Amino acid sequence: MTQTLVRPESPSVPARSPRPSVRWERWLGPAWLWGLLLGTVLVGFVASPHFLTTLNLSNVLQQSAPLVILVAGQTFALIVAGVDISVAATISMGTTLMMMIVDGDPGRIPLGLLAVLGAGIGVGLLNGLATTLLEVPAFIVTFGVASIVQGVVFWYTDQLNVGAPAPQMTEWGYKAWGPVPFLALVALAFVALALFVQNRTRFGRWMFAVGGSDEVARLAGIPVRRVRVMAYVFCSVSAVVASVAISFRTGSGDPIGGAGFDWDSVAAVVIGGTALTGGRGGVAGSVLGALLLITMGNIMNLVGVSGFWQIVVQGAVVVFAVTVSTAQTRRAQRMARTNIPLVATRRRLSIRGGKA
Amino acid sequence: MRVTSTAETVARGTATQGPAALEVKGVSKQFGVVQALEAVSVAFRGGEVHALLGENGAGKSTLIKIIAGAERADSGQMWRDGEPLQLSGPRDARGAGIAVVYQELTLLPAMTVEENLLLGHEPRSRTGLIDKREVRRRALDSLGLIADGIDPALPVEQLSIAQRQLVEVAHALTLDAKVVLLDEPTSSLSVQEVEHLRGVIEMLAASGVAVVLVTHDIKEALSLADVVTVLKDGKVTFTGRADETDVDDVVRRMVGRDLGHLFPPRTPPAADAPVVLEARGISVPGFVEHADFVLREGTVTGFIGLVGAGRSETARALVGLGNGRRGEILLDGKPVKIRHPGDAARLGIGMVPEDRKLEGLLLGDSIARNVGLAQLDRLARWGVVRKRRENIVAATQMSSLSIKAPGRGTVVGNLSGGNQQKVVLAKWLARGCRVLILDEPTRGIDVGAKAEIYRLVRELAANGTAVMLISSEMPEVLHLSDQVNVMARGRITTTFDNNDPALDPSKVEEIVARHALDLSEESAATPGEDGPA
Repeated sequence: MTQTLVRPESPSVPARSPRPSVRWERWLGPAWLWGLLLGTVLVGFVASPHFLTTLNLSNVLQQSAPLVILVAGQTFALIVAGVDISVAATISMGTTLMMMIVDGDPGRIPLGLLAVLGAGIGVGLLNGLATTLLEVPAFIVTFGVASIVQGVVFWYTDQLNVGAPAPQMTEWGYKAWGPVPFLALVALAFVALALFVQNRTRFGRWMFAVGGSDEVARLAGIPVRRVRVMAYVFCSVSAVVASVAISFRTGSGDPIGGAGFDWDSVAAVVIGGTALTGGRGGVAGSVLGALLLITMGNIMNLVGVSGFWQIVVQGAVVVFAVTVSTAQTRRAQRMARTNIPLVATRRRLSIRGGKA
Repeated sequence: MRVTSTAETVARGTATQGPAALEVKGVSKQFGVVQALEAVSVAFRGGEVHALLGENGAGKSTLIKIIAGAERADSGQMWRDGEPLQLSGPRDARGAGIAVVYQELTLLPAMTVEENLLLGHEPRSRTGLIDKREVRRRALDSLGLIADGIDPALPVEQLSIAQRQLVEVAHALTLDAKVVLLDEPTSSLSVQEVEHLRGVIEMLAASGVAVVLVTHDIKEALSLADVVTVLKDGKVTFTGRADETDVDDVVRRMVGRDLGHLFPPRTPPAADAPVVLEARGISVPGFVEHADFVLREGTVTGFIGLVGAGRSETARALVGLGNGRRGEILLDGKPVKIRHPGDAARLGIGMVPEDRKLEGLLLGDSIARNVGLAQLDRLARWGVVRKRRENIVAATQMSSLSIKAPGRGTVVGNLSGGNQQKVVLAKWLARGCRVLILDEPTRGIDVGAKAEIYRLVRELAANGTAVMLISSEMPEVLHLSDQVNVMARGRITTTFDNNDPALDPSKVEEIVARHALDLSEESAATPGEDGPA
């Protein structure tokens, strides 16, 4: 139908030099974060002779794996204008469950994986359904769920470290080819999957719409609630995958092994440019944010900065990064405004016309 | 310009046989006691541009919402191509080929143009993934017809308002809509952009789409539309071909209501009533251009104008609100500095804002606490609020304004609109101000409460308060005001003494409407285009 239309002669919109496509940013993350990460690596190189060694880099990558996996999911929660505080408890649940089920027997690894995955999906559904059906803010819901999950973990572990890994798990957990550890490859694969879902599927696009505006999404016929619930399920699943990665590297299931991952993951996602208000950002930036946090921690460890000061620095970096990314968004918007004659100009025109 | 449109009408006129693309029959809608629409019937035909005209509150937006499925009519039917149409939500309307381009844009700023265009109906390839090539093709297809040169991969936030408006229209095309409603599409466009949009509208109509143009701008509507329908107070007062009517005729059918019995008699203030507040060269970038006016003791000064004429912004500038505002404010002849509403309150200038729920009230708090809010400095001793005094003040105001509520502890959010508005008024009356600014004081309240507010306004003036009254309802301003300022596009276009015996009451509304629409003289004197047509 539309093809049969004939274009009238008059229309020609003032075309502006379009900014180079921002599409690659969705796969690779914001350029300035790459710069910041590179700068940090440079600082590390200058500050410590131990930093740029195969052993240390391998270590950093291995340490990063769980957080990198987790932030992929946390990003989804933030894109739909939510947040998931329960990931720390979910990780604790995942590691302890895995260790208790396997308990040294390699034959039970598949069973452990299935159980952990199921539990993760369960927590995600709980988060998602509670936020969408009860219409309680995500922060409160996931905070409550965190407490519930942690309580259950304490109950079945009796607040003690439980279980043991199979030898094969530990072997793979420490396996590395040069500076490239096996766990880093797992994290990379998971991030690739998340990027694919985010950028190539309808669900991915709908997440941005739902986070951008509930109302617009609903008018466009998008199943808003379902998209939200799925985002939370994905987030919890990424938490249990992270917990499995952790269980490959520890000797037993720690009932509070996930402590700290909640704020670390939110910090990394926010550093990566995903807005707390939802609708913009992406997984790639979050991964860069996670790498940045871990790398800085590593450098400060090597140089011997105390743990207290490390926390202070981390806080400062979060605030700095959020300032930069909001400033960038605003700059893009301002650019658009100044290039085009707007209401004010039109008023001036008509005022001149009126007095003539 | 009407000559050319006549020629086109003949060409398009052939399409007017058979059932209308969309027909609305006897649609009524009531909000509370306000009859927003009363048995409205109108037919939109394919290939025609149909302009829907009316004042603020005439029922245009309600009608659009009903057609868009966002609001349900109390009674009446709709027919689409001769088939009965039942809408239970916006999605149904879309499915029926009805697309609305809203005044406030509904694009997601962080997403790209093409993502917005195909949101919710993304084409998928056999693998179930989004078919990016198809997305691009369809985006370029609809953009090419309307907004050539807009890069589909650009985030919407990097587009100008005009470009966004065009993208919205393109969106209607990707839906393959047969009925396209445009709500005030030119309100934020420059002259060339308006020209461009006109081309688009003509093209849409030429392809057989029924285009419905909702607008304030009569000149624009008459030059662009084939058929014009005028709404007044929820009723259709005129439907006919655009070439069979003219601006004066339409204006006459838009205004003129008989609400006289609601208004209290007006006792004119002394002609030499002293000036309380003088505003010199008030400007707010983008909204107000150099407004000069005075507010006198015991006088109601009314401000009339369309939405966006800059009335509210002028009022807000008086109490220290608005970015980049300039100009001088004199109180009793002495220049004063007002940096924020607190300064204004101390000087005795109070404002009842346009949006009482957002700016005037703490909805979750009690009447007493709301009333006390503007004078906590007087109610408190050593920083502790004296409850007893607060309660006394509230009780006094409640009885003098006859606020209907179980008690002073009643939560304001539970009151009716009229009583809420009285609480906002009480807040300032309790403080006792010399200048009171009322911005749309009767919006969304029922007729009885309106009459009470009217009585209060006149009482305040009788007690010496200088009242600044802003309202989109012309009769309200004309019946209550002693002095009237008409604003259009950020400037005061005319000022007159409403108590002047030489004034012909039957002509006033028409004169005011012309000035508010900025039609004064220029429509006859300059046939060429010097403003938005």
